[in-house]
Amino acid sequence: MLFNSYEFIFFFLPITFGIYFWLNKKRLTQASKAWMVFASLFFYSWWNIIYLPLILGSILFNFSVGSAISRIYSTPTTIKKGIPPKTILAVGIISNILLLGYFKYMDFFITNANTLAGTHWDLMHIVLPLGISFFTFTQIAYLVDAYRGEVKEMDYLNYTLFVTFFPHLLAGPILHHKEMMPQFDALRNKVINHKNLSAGVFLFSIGLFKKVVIADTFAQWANAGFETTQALNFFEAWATSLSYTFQLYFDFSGYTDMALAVALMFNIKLPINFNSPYKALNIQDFWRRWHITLSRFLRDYIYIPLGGNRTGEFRTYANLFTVFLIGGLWHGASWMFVIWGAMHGIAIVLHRAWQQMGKKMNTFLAWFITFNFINITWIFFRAKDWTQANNVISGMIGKHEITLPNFLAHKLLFLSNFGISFGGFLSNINGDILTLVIIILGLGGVLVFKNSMQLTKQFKPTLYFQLWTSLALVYGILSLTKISEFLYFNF
Amino acid sequence: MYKKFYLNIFILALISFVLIGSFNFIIDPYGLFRNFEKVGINQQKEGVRNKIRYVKSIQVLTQNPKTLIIASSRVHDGVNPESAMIPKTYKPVYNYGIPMIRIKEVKLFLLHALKSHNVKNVIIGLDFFMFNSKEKLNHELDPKIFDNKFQMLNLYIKPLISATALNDSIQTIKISHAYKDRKEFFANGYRPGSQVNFGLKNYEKLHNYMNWTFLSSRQTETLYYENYGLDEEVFSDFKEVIAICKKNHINLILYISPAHANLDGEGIVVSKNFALFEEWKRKITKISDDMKIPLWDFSGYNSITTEAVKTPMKNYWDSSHFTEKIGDLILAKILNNKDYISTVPISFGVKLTPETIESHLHQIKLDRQLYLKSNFHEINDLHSMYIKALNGAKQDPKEIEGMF
Repeated sequence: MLFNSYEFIFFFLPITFGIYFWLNKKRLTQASKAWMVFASLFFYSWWNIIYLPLILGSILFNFSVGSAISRIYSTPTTIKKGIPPKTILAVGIISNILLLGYFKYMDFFITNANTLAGTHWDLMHIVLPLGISFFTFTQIAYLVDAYRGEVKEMDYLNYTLFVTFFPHLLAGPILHHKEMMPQFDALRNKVINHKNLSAGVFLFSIGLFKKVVIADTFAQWANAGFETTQALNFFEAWATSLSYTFQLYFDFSGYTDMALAVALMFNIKLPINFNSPYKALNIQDFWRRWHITLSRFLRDYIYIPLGGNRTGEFRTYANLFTVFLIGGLWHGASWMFVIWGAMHGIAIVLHRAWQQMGKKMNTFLAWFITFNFINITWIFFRAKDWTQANNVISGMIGKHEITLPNFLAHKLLFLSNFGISFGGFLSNINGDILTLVIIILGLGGVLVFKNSMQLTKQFKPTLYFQLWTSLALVYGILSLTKISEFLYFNF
Repeated sequence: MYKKFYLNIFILALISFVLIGSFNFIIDPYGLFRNFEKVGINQQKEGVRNKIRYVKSIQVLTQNPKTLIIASSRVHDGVNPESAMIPKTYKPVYNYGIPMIRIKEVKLFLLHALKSHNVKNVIIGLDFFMFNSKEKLNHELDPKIFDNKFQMLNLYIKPLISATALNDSIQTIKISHAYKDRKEFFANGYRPGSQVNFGLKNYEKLHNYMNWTFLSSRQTETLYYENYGLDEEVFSDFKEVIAICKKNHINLILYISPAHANLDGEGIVVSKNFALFEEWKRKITKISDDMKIPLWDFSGYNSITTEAVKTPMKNYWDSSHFTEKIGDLILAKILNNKDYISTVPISFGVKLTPETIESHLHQIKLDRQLYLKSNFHEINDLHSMYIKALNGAKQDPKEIEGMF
């Protein structure tokens, strides 16, 4: 189920909420937890129930492994007798990676093997189970935490609740066991908190609006652009890449806002995941603002175990690069994600080298370079292959065609001597002058305005907040569905 | 105070939905409810324009027709379900014409329509472009419109409680007010060509525009003759369409539609698909004959399809779309209407069978030679325009300026 759906907003959320707090009111706290697990699994299985056994199996396996590790810590005398915890941990992690590898990367692996070795293995066309990247990472973190002795309790119901809790199940944030479990057990979180509920409604409305109104508006131009990359003129190519840059941010951060908002309604505070990433002044800064919980995971569970910055300068650079390569591949089974990861890895390495030299840069220039770097690398993230990405970039550097809007023709006609033409300057992406205005507003929006997290902190139940929330919520719900349009033959 | 905050929001939202829903119900931009219609306010259902697949998927069930005419926009704009050519026993008729429909879509739309058990007759207008195997399904098709699971969503939420519907309602009022004599989208699925081409001034430009889009896939994203192919799957879809009708004891009639000879003749020749066009006719003739279904061919270089391109025309709006008059001729012929059959030129509409197909194809070639001879300069110009389009040149907006 998606947050931005009727069934979630009008049925699932109110019912889950009502029964959860009713059970708590009756002091049936175990039952309320069980209810939440049941609701979360229902949420997970809404579209396709076939992966329910998979997630349950994964939870049972990881819980057993985690408990086995923790038990060794709680009864120190057995350490010498049993299997060393490090071995158990290794088995646990490898099993998780194999599971993810099978479901997410099998076809990618087969394709590459076929190309390299000239074999003719058939692709398996495995459907990616929902949220598998997220619940696998969450549970690897749990195993490592258990190994580090940071897991204090072992209760199957609690553990299942931690993994399946529906707000974070499909798209994060990626959680730590220790930041979640105390919240579920705190007594004061078991009664409806009107302040949290209000703030939740407020944040949910913003998130919904960001996703279904703003992101989907940008999506139409980005999609059209990436469908006709070879034809894009200068402005179209820029509009395409910028539209995608904004689409991705508003989509993902909007979805995360909704996740945080829904959790907040249940008095659970999830860690923030976005903090105005496009305001970043360097690439390291960007990764501290974009998908923060993923960066945190990569740092704690890959970068630091690899040795972090404690094993010499060269290894540090190599570690940084590796982390981004893996981070890239985590986003999807394609070389384009690897390329994207590699680009960010190189940028991080260069940034570190620059920092080591102790040099400073003008703030505007720093922002400008960072933003453009991100904008260009998103093209590789979105493109389905190298040619497509290359086409967009060629368009952006004016290698295709430069077309100015028709209304400028009588003033700037002399430019046609320099190979500049006049016409439908955004026609290939079904855009017009409004597209340009909205892109500029989008840029202004992400740079000037406070982000949803800052706004939620300032939240007060005033008339002002009430009106804006209502407007965002109503317009968001009205925009949940679109009738698919037939764009050609417009007369 | 906090409690009041969210309660107020919920109440406000609820009131908004009721108001917006009522407004959309009255204006009815998709013509699904038809409870209130007033010239100058909502007679021109603007919402239908780009959402024909969605609207027709609902209309076809609510109209409960006895006869369906399934085809591309050529039928949508040119075949009147109220036509006097159609015998009373066939009525009510629903015009199930859908722009740029593909054979696989024909199958899906047919299956969907058969959820209503009233359907007894199906007439299918076949087009060469409909069978292009390079694109089997239109990417605009949203399969959710056929899914019963989404009935609530399709029937009530989309047309009532959505920003799209609100916007379309406003457009409906605007256009209805500005053009009081415009009424394009009918409840029976018909969209008269005169209304589609409202205020058309220059037939020739519209012809050229249509020719251009059929030849250059870059202009349209949908594949026409520039990028054409046939494979087994499109024919098996065709067989399935017939099998579905047979299984449901439906009286099925097939015909190949008559686009202007400049398009479904010269356009196909220039794109080097003419042999494939003939092969396609042979194959569908064989299949229909095997399954004992009548198939008519109205295409070619006959007296109707070779009408001179000028302003105004009697038979055509543009190279692809014929007028209602031609729609009537087709109906009179395929339904064998005794009172009107004498008005149909003998060469217009030939019944195809494995016995007649070769001589028919040969006749078309002879007709073509005659047509080329008597329209030498015009065809030469046309060919050079086609070659430009095939070479990926952009159409100059000035070329089509002043069409309407």
